[in-house]
Amino acid sequence: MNVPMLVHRSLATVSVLALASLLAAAVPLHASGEAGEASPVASPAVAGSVTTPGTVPGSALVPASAVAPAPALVDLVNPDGSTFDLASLTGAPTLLFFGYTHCPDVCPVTIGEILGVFEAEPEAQAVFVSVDPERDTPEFMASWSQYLPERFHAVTGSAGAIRRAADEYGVRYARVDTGSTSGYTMSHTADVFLVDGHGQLVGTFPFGTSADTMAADIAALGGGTG
Amino acid sequence: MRPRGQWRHRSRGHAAATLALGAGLLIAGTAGAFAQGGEGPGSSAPAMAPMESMAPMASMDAMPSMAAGLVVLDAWTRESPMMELAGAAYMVLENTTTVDDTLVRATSPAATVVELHRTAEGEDGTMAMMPVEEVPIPAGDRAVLEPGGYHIMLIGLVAPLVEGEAIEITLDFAQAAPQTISVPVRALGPMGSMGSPAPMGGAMDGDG
Repeated sequence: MNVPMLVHRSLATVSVLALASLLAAAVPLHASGEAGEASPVASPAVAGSVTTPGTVPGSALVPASAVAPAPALVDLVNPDGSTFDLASLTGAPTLLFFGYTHCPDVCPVTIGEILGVFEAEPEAQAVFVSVDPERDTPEFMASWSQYLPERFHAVTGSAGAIRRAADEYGVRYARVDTGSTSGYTMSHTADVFLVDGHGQLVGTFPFGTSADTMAADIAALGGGTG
Repeated sequence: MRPRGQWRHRSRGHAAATLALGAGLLIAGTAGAFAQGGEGPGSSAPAMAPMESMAPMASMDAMPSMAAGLVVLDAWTRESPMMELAGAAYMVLENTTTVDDTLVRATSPAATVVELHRTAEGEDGTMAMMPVEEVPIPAGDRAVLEPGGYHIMLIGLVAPLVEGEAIEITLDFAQAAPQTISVPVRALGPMGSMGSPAPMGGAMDGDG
């Protein structure tokens, strides 16, 4: 099993470092080079430019093959039923991931690490997109998200809208009937997407990336509030 | 480590690791082991150390009076403010004998149904959680129940799982005698790493 063993902190750190070294060797800076209008070393204040992602020592970020605007999450809704607008989060970096509230094992790990990022990066935001519209109604999301900070945005939507959003991000998920008393589960990819303050999808963190590691990459974006 | 609101983010890191080790000692004590104050496993096995699957003898040395058998270490569960959501409990099961064993069942007064589950990554990269019949604990080795792997599912919580409290779980094994352990409830937060950031202090989630 290749799942990171988070309980074993030292081991996990070493693995992340090793992975980062491999990535650094295999993915030489091309992401910024394709950003186009701006030089790779341009100020973060220049729209469309980013600090070279994934070059922070120890980074676990897998840079996007080409930095481009993060796909809009069309027709998804906030817990209060209003339409969610990803563009409204522009101005600060955002960690975006897909999961479901009835997920007792994988999703809380990601949520916990994101709460750690929030401590280190006061501007950081998060978007949790449910892949379980049957149980994650806006009403249920409202009950659930009250236990989380306001900058943790929990969104859901129709089955169709969620599927389209997931496809845009390359996220795969499926309902799995396991026979458990707890009901069906959802299998899903568990990467965390990093969107910079300009709304650009910078890259992805694999499941299990630590808060500190994600926070370091966010810090390297250079603020993103410009 | 003052109790705070549910799901409220806070600094963890070393404190959490220490807590986990303390819990391990506590549980080892329950299991019939004798944990010696400051000279326990804490001094010989740093809390941050990875648990190597080939090191059961070292652990036995650290706890010389531990009866041969099945030792439960580092048990914890995560706070769960909503009773309609299942909880998950994690721990390390160390088999100090020369006979393979299995965890075959868990029960708890904290939940109406308790199941053994395993999350595994499929070939398509998705993470899927499935019930399992048992958790193997090879002779002289350990089974690690951890996020993203084996865990104990607490279904139908009879009360919210509150940080700082503890629940009881009874473990039934194929070989070893059953054990009832105390499982501390941890806050939802980062699993911990070097240089944990300072708590923000300011509350942005106004509820508790």
